[in-house]
Amino acid sequence: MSIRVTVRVSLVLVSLVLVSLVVSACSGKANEGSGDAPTSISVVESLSLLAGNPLSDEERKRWETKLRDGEATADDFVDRLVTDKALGRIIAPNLLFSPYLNVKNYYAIPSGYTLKTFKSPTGPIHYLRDRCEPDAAIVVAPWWDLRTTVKVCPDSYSPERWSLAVTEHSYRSEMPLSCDSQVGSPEKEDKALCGCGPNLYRCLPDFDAYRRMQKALSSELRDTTAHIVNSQRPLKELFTTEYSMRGRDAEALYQRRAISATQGIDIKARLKSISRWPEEPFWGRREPLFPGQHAGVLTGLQLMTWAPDRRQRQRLFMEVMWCSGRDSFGATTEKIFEISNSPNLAFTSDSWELLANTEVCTNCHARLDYGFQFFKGYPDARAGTHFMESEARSGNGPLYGDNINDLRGETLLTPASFAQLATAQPEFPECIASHISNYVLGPAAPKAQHQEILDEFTKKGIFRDAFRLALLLRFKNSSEPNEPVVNTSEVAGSAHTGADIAIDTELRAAVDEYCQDCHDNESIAFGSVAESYGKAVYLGEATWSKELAVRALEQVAYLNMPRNDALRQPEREALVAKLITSIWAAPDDRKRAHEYYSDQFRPLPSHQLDLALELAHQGLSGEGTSERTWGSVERSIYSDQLVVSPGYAAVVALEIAAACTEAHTELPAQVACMKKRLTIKGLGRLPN
Amino acid sequence: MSLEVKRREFLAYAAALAAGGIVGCKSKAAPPKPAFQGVEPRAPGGPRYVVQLLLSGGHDPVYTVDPKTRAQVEPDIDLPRTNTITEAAGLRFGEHFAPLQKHASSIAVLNGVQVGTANHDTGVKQFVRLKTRATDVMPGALDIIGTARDTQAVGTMHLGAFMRTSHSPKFFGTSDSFYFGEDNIFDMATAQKEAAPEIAELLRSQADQVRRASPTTQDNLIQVANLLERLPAAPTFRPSRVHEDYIAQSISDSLDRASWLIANDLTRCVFVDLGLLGWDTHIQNFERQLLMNSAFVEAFSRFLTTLRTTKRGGSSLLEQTLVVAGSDLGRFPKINAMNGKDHLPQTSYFFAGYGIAGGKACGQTDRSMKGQKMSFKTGTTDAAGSIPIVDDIGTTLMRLCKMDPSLYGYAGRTLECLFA
Repeated sequence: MSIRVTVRVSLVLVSLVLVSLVVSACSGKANEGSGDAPTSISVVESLSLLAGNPLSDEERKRWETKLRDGEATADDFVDRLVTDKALGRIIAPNLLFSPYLNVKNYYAIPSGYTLKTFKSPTGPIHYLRDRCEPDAAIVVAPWWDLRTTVKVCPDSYSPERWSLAVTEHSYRSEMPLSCDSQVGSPEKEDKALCGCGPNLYRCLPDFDAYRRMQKALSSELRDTTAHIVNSQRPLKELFTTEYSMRGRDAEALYQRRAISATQGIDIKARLKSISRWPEEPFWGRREPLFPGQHAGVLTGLQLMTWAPDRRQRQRLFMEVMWCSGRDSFGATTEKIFEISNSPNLAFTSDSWELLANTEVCTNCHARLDYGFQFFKGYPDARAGTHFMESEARSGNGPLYGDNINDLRGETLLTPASFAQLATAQPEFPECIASHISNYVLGPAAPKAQHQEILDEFTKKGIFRDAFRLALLLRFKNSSEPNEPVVNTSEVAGSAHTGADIAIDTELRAAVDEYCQDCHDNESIAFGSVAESYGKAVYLGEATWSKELAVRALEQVAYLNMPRNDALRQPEREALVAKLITSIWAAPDDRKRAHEYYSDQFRPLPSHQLDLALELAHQGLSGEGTSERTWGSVERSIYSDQLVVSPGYAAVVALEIAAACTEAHTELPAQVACMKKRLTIKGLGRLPN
Repeated sequence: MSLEVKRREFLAYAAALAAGGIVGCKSKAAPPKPAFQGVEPRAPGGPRYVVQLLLSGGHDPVYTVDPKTRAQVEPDIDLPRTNTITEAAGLRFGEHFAPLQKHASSIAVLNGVQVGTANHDTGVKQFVRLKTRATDVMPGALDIIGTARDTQAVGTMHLGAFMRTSHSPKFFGTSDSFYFGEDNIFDMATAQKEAAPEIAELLRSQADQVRRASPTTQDNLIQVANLLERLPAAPTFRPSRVHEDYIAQSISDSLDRASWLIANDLTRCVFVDLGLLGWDTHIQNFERQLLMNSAFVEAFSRFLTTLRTTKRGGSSLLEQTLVVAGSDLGRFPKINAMNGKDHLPQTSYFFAGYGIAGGKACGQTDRSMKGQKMSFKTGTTDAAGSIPIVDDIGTTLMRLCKMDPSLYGYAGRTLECLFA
């Protein structure tokens, strides 16, 4: 797309320059960085932040000048931003995977297999459970350095042991239990069963190695995404390829799984191959033990074992590929009793098939339960971390969409075939486009612009191209007047005077237009929220009870209704305002209602936390990312929902304090450093 | 739109901005500190403090607050092996909750609550908001209550967040350190206490910048500034070290932290996410529930005792604090092939402190453990009544806090049976 808006852009930029001149004239040098920034920023600055590529003041000014003078176009500027590696390294992984990218994986590497060490007269001895007599220790060449030997207690070695019988473990399970799992590890056992195995391949030498391996899990996901995005490969490859971008630690984990799967066949060759793998991330094939075993990051180290059971795992897959499956509502005790008299809903086909075919349940379980059959070779993460050919299904299986009546196709029951079929469905481009559109343009963006991004991604399938278009649209929007804002606190309407709410002509017209499809004569009469649980209620009455009106208002305000996404944001805001005016008469009540239903307690949108932490360190010695491991739930929130919450602001502010006190020893320099960084634009995504 | 119009608009726009800038220049004196602590001062009604405890994963009622004898249930309903039921002050405790008998006169129970989901993500999302069909961006119930505060630094603190669906636009707090990372705002604020005054001032300055554009952002920044200013004066937090087990210790830490926050008047509300889904006992229900319940009961008992024995302004902190505890979902009453119990969209809640009728049990379950219709006034089984749902708890909480539930999307009924 080429945007011919240079003149208009110039006008806006000139105005911004004028503003900045006025502001700087007021503030003077003494106030530099004193926090007197305007609450909107230039489009140049906002686009660079959205692309994860904050420009220096000099470069920002240079681009503003070039754009103003017509020496460069919006396309030139956006191209400069999206060709920077930060788009793939920071923005894309957080945009697509944040709930799983920054949260530690408990199951992938059983921590119980981290060795402890005690000193003995004959040298250090490793053990997992209890120390042994030094004389009893066994000499082993460990996988992490095959040229040396170490001593290990006998019960921590057990080279012949690969799996557990169900009767051996108090975790009674219908799943085959492997030694390389949480259940098989010393963490969950009642008695010593498994050890580190031959060459101690199942174990890590210490907790530093554990932490390093943990990092390797998410690094593979991040680096693979970065590679696909930055090299402009089709994004579907992220979910279908046999390759991944991984360093030696990640490769060691793949080899460890292959050793478990083959019960040690070729263990020497596999262990030697680890040392030949590059230490730094490298784009390499993951050797399949079974045709179709690999499906991009779905079968990668982080996602495959992130959730314990297969259904949870499938929900994760559908969430990252289709943006679906995060909500599940409508279950009742009666319904669960009805379908689950022998309650083992994931293990036996008569149970999961029943669930997938049952009313209400089918809305999720047709998609999930038939879906996890494609990945059956990968066990429940509690019971095993490697692919088990014996567990894999053969033949073809179906993929469902919305429910059991929404068959999308049948294909080979392998992860690879699943990924090909799933990424060919319309939900895949819609999901990716909505991530990009909501993040760059915001939820109030015109539907037509979202559609443009969707069309672009559907046509080419390239993340960077769709992101580039979104940035250009934002650039274009910044040069055009905003849509008129509905003054929602001044909407006319009949005031609520009693227990019932009168539905006037205007409200009736809106309800008929947007709600009638579902809330028609077939619907039930509203009695209470409890009685209308998960059912469409009749909205055709001339008056509504206050409970019904409040319920309807909240469902519309918070985007649950109408279900077909028919309402554009301005129309939705108007309807919300109309309902508020109809329900409450007192000015104070209306004000409170607006705070909750219209403003929704929502602060400014924020940067991705990873980016905000980088900004805290920008320009300081040792520039780069934070060394802290912030326990911050904000890192697991999808980018379009990130806001300047108190929690986010506290983390960023404290990171800035730490960065500045680490970089400067003198107090005045520390303070100046903090002033420069702790600004509203360093915290939030400001409007242009 | 023609270029001419654009140009005229531009000139008007630039002139307006320049004028604004100049006006701003004239009034450049340092803005006064806001006289209030948040967006708008609101005198809090009802309890001075509110605490919400999530026993995440789903506690098992027959071991805790809805015990049954063998004669009271169908033969295939799983009951504890020894099944000792403790009666105290009108309540019946299952064997895992027996140690709570000494607090029975402060506790009320609500059994058979429908939550409408058998999914943890949705269950947690609803539990935080105390309403069904909640969305990710809805404020939590405590976010709403926390908008009204007086001397407290912060509206609501969250402790030990584990699932992202507990995040809301007003989220402020800590996450589980194993899954999310070890550095948290309390430790970092202590480590940066020399820089804290400067950071707080900068936050206030930025808050002032956005007071018109985004009052909520302004309030959020002020809350952070308040906390950074107040933390150095608070006594050092010293959690009890009682467990080797990570989850058990985290339960203890979180409840100790909650009482510390209240005792130092740092927040009006505390949301505590307990147990990392440890009550989700699909495998070995008895053993896992015992581990979780034992850790919880020990820490919760200490929490209640601390609040009861700490007096301020002529009454105990417990009298000033409303406690609401429950789970995201419940457990299927029959045992599965792994000696575990699967999900059920029904659970029980319990309450303590301000406004609560201690020793009161509301709501019953039948022989199959299914919740029964009840009178919301008396709490007894009533065929003409209704089965309680999570929205009813949110509505009741708002009423106890003297807030109009309907203004915040609560369309449930009031559980008067819980009121003192």
